[in-house]
Amino acid sequence: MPSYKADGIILKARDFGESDRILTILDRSLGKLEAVAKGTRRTQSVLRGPCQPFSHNLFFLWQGRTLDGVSECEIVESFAPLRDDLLKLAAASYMVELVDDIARDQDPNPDIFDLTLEHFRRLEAAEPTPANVNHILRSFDLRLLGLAGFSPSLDACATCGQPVGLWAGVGAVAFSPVAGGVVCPACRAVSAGDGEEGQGDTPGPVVILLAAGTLATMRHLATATTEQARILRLTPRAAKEMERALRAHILYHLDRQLKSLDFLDSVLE
Amino acid sequence: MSHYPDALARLVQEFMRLPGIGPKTAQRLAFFVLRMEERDVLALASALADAKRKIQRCQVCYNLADAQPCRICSDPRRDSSILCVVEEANDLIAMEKTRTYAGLYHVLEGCLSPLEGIGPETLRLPELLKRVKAGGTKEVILATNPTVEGEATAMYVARLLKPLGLKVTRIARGIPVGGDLEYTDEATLARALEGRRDM
Ligand SMILES: [Zn+2]
Ligand SMILES: [Zn+2]
Repeated sequence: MPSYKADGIILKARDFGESDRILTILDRSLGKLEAVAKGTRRTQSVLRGPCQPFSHNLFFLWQGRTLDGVSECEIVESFAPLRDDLLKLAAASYMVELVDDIARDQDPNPDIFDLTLEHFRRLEAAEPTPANVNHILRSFDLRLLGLAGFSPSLDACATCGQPVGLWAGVGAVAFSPVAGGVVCPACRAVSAGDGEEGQGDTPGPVVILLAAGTLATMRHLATATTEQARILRLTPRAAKEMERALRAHILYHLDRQLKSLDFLDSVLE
Repeated sequence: MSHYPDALARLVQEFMRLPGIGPKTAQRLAFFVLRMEERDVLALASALADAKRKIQRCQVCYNLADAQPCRICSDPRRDSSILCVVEEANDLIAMEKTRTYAGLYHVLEGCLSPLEGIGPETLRLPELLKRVKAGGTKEVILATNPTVEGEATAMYVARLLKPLGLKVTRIARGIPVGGDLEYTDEATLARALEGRRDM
């Protein structure tokens, strides 16, 4: 049977048959792949420990006719703390769901793989507080959207393209998920169905107001390295506004609510 | 299905509704039923109907029961100050088979699965809180599975119960009997070390 190796992160592990699991693996150069890990649900299985969600492993796989399978597996980073704390588990679940969905129809993207690992490491090392988790997730959101080509427009009006510097003052700026980023007052005035905070027919708010400081923070995080992002201080207000804007932006792009959000919200409160 | 007489085709169809049963197995089972004594077939049919009609969830612990409350909940010899929280009724049966536990149970009827969007609202958690708040419980043992979902559920329940000021414990996790240290993963080994005891 032809075999191959993969250096990957387990995004998902769902039960299959009596004692098997089907893993969704994000490989650095192959992209997303699925493989069955036989017998993993038995306590004696040597695959049981490594084949858990979030684990970064070296996989030895066999090629099957309909489904590939894991023959051996070596842990590179187990990321056990992401499974042993409720907040971290909720955050990591959100991250893998977003990666899984955004990487769906994409070519293999080593940058997305590296970004996920970097943020897993950051999450693993962080004190598990809601503020820390939100900080990590927002920087992850912005960078992932960028790598996937779904960046919100933060430097210029998403509708007319006028640079922010030409129209934004010291006051709040409007962010429109439908337009795909910030919108200038002129475009906001002419756009149909405009309303503030959750009116209109589209799901989620039509426009979210961002303080000038929040917008500056988002622009910084979108291009910062993980280390630069880590040391950036985030005010509670900026964190809240970013969360609302990015959630609405992601909802609009995926056209569905992430399943892990309810759980995340229930442990963040 | 047209090769079968109608009644046989129906039987094969019904067997195929069962989990893990494909057309071949369904056909084998159906032929087996045809060879059985009539009274055995009737016993099987009435056992199926009886189970469906008589077995309900116990309204106290949510175990499967043929009486309200179930036999465990109404047994005066059991220690009502200890509650063992399990995911499903079959976990309760596994615990009972050990014959080492004499407290009561609470069946959650599932577990949290953040990735599948299965949240706390789907579990028997308000019922658990109500039971514990009614008084009399000194210890809650969390016996959910040592899977990511089971651990998440245990952590979540522990967080809910903590403010109530009672003892909340988690069953030990470690190397299974018959296991081999060399083939045990780091996470399991680390937990086994944490849960070590005097000899
Ligand atoms: Zn404009
Ligand atoms: Zn009962």
